[in-house]
Amino acid sequence: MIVRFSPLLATGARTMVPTLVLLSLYLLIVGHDVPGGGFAGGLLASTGLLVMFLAFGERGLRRALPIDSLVVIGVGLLLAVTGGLIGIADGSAFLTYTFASTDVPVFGQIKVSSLLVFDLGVYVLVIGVVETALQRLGGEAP
Amino acid sequence: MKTLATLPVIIPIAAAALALVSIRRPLVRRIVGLASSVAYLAIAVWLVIAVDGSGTIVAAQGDWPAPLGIPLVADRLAVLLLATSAAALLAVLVYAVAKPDTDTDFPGFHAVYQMLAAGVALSLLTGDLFTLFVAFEIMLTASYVLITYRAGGSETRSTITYVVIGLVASALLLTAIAFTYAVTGTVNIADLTDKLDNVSPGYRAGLGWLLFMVFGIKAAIFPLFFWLPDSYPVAPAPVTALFAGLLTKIGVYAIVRTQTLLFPSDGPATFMLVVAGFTMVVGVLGAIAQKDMKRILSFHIVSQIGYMIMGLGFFTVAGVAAAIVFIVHQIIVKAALFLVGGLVEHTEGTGAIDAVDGVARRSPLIAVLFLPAAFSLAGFPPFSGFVGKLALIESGFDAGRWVVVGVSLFASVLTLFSMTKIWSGVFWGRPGTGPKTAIPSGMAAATAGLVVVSLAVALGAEPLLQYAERAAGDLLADGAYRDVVFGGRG
Repeated sequence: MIVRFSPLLATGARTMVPTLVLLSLYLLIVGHDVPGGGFAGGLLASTGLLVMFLAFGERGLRRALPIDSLVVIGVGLLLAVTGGLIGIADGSAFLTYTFASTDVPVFGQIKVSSLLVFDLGVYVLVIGVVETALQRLGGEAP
Repeated sequence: MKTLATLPVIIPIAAAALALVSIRRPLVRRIVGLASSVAYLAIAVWLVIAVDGSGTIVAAQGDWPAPLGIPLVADRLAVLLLATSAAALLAVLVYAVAKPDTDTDFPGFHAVYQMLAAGVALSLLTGDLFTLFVAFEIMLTASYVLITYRAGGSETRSTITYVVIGLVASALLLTAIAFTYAVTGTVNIADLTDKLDNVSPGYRAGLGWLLFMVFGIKAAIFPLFFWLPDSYPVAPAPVTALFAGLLTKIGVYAIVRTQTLLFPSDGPATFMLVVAGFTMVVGVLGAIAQKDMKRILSFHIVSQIGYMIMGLGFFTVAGVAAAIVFIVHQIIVKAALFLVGGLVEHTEGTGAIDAVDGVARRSPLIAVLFLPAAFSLAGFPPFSGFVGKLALIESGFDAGRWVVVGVSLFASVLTLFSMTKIWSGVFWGRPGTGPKTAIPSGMAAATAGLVVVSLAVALGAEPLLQYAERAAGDLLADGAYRDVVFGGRG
């Protein structure tokens, strides 16, 4: 449902949404050692969805994420479990992590933890949950 | 081995994820759900054998040692209840799949069901108070979905009661955990067994009572049970059966776990017995006043919780062991009785005692399934309820608690009376001539499966009781739990 189309918001959304998504990906990747992580990143990315929803209504939401939101939740949950299972495959307990660090020019040292898969799962799951909420609560009554 | 103790939590979560991914494929969802529940049961049974043979398994998640990390502690009590719950979960799922309108109407059914199973496993296995809260939240949030998804009209009001009470209890539980953390600096149960000794007695008793009350709301003990008979009957039959069999018992499990391990010296033992007595009598009196099968059975849930609290209140190894056996018996029999109630509603269209007559003639199969379960609930020999009640009464005599034992016997007679009310009202009498719906064989088989398990509990009473005594011994032995968790494999 879109009450009134606002050209101002629609124009703003075109720059806001990519910025929000980029920033959320940054939070996801650095989240292992510094504030951020899958949950915060996922929430930030879903504010991008929210902006799309406010600017373009349900059509905008579908265009931003053209997959069934429940499937998105399922994929996120599956990724999170897989991230935990890496520890078991490694011969230790569930959710045990290992990490590798490499020196990348310009960015400096970057540490990648095996729990990044888990965090990515949380990221996807949060997006799926927010999308479901927007569709169910913000959509037209069935 | 350690991974084995984690699997009952991981498998249902992975299955829930797969069920969501295949949200457009009903058959795949079904297969994933059923396969997960079968695996869950198999692992739980294996855990019972492994733990009883070679001792408690402690699995530190992420390899963080206690008290830093979150350990899953598979001790005798936890795995026994896990296996019992797994049997109930599987039977109810088969029943729900066979019932024409349960998992087809609601695409998310299997995902939610598996999350509930994961919550149950985590509640039973966790060795951490805060994770226990999280596990309850997983379990209860899933139950909110299951109880509300079919509700409409006046049913919505009943389910709102359920959700609100659940949320209030969760908030209180979180508060109790925050208090515990504030005075001890830890929420690891094994660590708490030690650290709580340094807390002043008044504060410790206060924490003990607060936790007893919070879990008492979840377990529906007197006087905190009012929400249960109001909300349970409105859910679809398999959902009610699952709630009746499992949810309140997980609350009782949490009471047993916290009171024996954390507050052994100043547990409110006499107070518990008073509460237990009132729970038994008020519950059964409520049951007698009802006119609908599911409502009668709902009040019986409350009444039977009293017996478990009574066994715990004796605070002896025999008493706690008897309570454990009784919980096992109740999970199976309660679920079976509600499934039978669902069968009556399915064939006759209603479970109201005045409206249905002569089911014994019209559908002899339902009567055959109802009788052993009903006798078992009332505590007739040689059924499983008799085993549990006999053990409870014996341990009560040994502990010298005559009054509450007398009350429990009185409540048993009333239980039998209300069962005969169902029998004479629904099963006897002139068979009606109205239309009747055939029972899908899956529904009958699932119910029969649970009845057979309850008979097996009665047949295996002696080994089960010995096992329960070892489990209760683990709980009441001073420092045993702590040593196992901190020493890895003990």
